Amino acid sequence: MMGSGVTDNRIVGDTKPCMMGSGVTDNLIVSDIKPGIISTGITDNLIINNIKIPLIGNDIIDLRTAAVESNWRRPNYLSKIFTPEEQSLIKDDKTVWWLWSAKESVYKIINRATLQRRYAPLSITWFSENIFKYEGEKFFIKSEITDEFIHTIAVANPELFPQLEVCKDPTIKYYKDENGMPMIDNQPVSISHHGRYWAMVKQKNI
Amino acid sequence: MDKETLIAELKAIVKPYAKDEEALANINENTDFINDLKINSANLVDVILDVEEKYNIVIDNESMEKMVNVKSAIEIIETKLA
Repeated sequence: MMGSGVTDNRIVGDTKPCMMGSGVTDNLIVSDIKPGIISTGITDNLIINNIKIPLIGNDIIDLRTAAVESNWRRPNYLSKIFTPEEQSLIKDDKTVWWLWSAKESVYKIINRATLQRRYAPLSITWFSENIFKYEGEKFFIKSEITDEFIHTIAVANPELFPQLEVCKDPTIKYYKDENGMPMIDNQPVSISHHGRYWAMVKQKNI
Repeated sequence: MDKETLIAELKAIVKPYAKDEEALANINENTDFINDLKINSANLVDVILDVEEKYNIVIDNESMEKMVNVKSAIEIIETKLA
């Protein structure tokens, strides 16, 4: 699945810079999302010049870097960021960072839609399987979980998943809009990097 | 406690998590923990826990939401200590 070439301390894809959909895999912990559940919230799309732009968020966590940088067993650490219910799902490093990557990727959608900074991990909560909620609104996630990294993609509308691809080539060309958000061809893309990994989630047609 | 002392104490707290050394050296009221110091969001929890321990205060969720820069951190610490 992952490219093996290490360039500039980052792992990039071997042949194709963007993996056509193959990087978007089902979560290993919980089953796939149920189709047909469509959020009608304002965060579904960003409307620019009357063109609806679907919002996506992603978060990649290098598990080795996380093991060195973060001690989640520290007293009070988990209760600051996870609800009691979420804490009951935690078994090991992978479950901690899966939950965190989900909250981070959902936050990226909310931040992009509202343009507001808010460090409130407890406001984004696990709802069921691959669904998280923020202020009553549902967000849908898919995660790729390996022994080396966890990569989560979030959308407000799950019908968007088949249209997305993961690009792990950090040399791909993109620009930032007036709010500092990454874009390609007037479409929002989502970028995440941590430790050895870099990932962009974008629509396949751009 | 004056602002400069607080900033110096905050600097010592964020040092282990800050990835931008130049921004850390120039830390001031306008410094952003994530955008300037490049503290990763999972380590921002550590900053909050360290602040709680150092000043023996509890940073509730409402305050935590704003803990993204030095200015807010100072305001929160000052309010809790008052």
